Amino acid sequence: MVSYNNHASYIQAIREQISNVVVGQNVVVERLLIALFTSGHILLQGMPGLAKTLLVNALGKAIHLEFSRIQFTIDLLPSDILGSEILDQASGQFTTHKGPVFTNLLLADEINRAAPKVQGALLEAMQERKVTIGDNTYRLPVPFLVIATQNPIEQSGTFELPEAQLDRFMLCHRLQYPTPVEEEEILTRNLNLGIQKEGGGAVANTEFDIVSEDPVGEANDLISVIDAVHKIHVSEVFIKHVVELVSRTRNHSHIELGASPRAGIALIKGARARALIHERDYAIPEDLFALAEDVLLHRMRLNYEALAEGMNTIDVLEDILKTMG
Amino acid sequence: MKRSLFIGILSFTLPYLIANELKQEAAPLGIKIQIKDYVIPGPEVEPKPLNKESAIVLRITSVYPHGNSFRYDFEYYGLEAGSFDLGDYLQGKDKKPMTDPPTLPVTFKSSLAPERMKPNPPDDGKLPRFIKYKHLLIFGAAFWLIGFLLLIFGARKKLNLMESSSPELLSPAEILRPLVEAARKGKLGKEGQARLERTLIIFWRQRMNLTNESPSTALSKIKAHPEAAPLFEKLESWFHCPNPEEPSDLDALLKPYREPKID
Repeated sequence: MVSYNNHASYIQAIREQISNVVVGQNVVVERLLIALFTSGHILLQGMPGLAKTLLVNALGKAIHLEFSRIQFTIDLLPSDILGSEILDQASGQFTTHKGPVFTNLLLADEINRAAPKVQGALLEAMQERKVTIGDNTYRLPVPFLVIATQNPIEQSGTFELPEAQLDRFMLCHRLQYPTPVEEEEILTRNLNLGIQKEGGGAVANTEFDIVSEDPVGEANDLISVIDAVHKIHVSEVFIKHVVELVSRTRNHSHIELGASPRAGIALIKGARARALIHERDYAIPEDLFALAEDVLLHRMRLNYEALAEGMNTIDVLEDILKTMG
Repeated sequence: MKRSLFIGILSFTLPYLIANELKQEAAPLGIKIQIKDYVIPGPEVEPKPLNKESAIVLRITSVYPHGNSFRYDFEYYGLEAGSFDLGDYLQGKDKKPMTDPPTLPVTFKSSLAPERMKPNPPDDGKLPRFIKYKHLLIFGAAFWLIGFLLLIFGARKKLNLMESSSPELLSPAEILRPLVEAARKGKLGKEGQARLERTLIIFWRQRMNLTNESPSTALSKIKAHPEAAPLFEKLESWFHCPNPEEPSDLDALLKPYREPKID
């Protein structure tokens, strides 16, 4: 295992390891790293089959983090995520069974399929980074990153996350389809996956089978990067840009619910991590513009007039950013 | 004992009393009349079904056992003027004619004269003679239309007034001038620095025709432009670096923006 003295080379090595499995999606990888380095959480919105699970799996193995996946369904209970107390009949004592939330990297697949009380239990754990089972409170491992996914097309049988709960996600990234060149590469790689023989049978390999089990760097490298992010300089001018942007979302004529102060904090945190990824020791307006959509869009709600005119939040945010003079 | 004797006497006398009373007064057509506690000896009876020839509509509203007989509450009204016997409109519960029908004579009178077949025409309204109802309707419609038009044009005028009274949006070039001047004189605070940077981005977006690009892409393209790149690079290190230093060539750098023109 190699330890990296340079943050840039460590980050580059993680990106390369992920790109061995996932083609393209550079922006998503960057957003995942930003969330990981800033202890935020990220919601990925995208159609099925865009390698969301594979991406998170690859990231978890690249950074040597413990990874769990929960498929959210309508009949899921809070205890299925958090854990529960089980009676040990031999000793007559209750023992705590910790749920899948006790991990470093948690993939909450299709979070909007679970009932609000389950969503609430996870979101509470996300915010407080601790879980209470019975009479005992347990701290979640560090780092703790929740990567939730949401399918934007299927709405029947789903429980839409309210704005107050969406606000707890530092970033909400909308995945795009790969470009034709990337798609060609995906198909070519898939042709060469081969098969694996086991016992007396054989099975075709999937992309999950080629995810490298060797982590990049050591645990200290990640700690060092998280520490470095906190040392990135944020100027007073940059803070004024953030304040201006956030306040414009609150005063826009088409917006009913603007960005919260948490959005401003997320913008600063995200800009710091992005600056580090782009090998700078200070945040610049480019970081702000790059992250604005992922930080602000899910925190904004249009008013009735805007909806009646057929507008969407992206149009309004772009209008704000274009005229922010 | 006394009570049963009283009911027995009443059952014999009441039909005659009612019959006499009905004989005396003629009821108007269509008005409901009730007879309470009328005892008819023998088995239970019911009204005959109505037909086209029925001059009376008779209903039995309640039936009570009364010794070996039944006591009835009747309700009836006349359809034709004249004298009739309610007993003719009763039959046994077994649908057979009564062997000994009671005599209940009733008389109905019509409010209209016998030869009148149509009601009176409605009275004329209280309008003055020179105004007809049609004219009144036309006048009302015209009044409503004028009110409606006044409402629309009045609201539009108010809207125009509001629009004209709102401050005109300044162009990026107009916003830049005082900011550049303040920067050259060293009087640009942090707020001014932030405004200058944002306005320069908008200025260059318009100049390079990048208004349809996403802000992030537009900024990347601006920073790749040979003329804009040095300016933004120096502004970034002045405004955002941990140890900022005002560019030595600030005056020359901002000179093109003292009187900026968008191509």
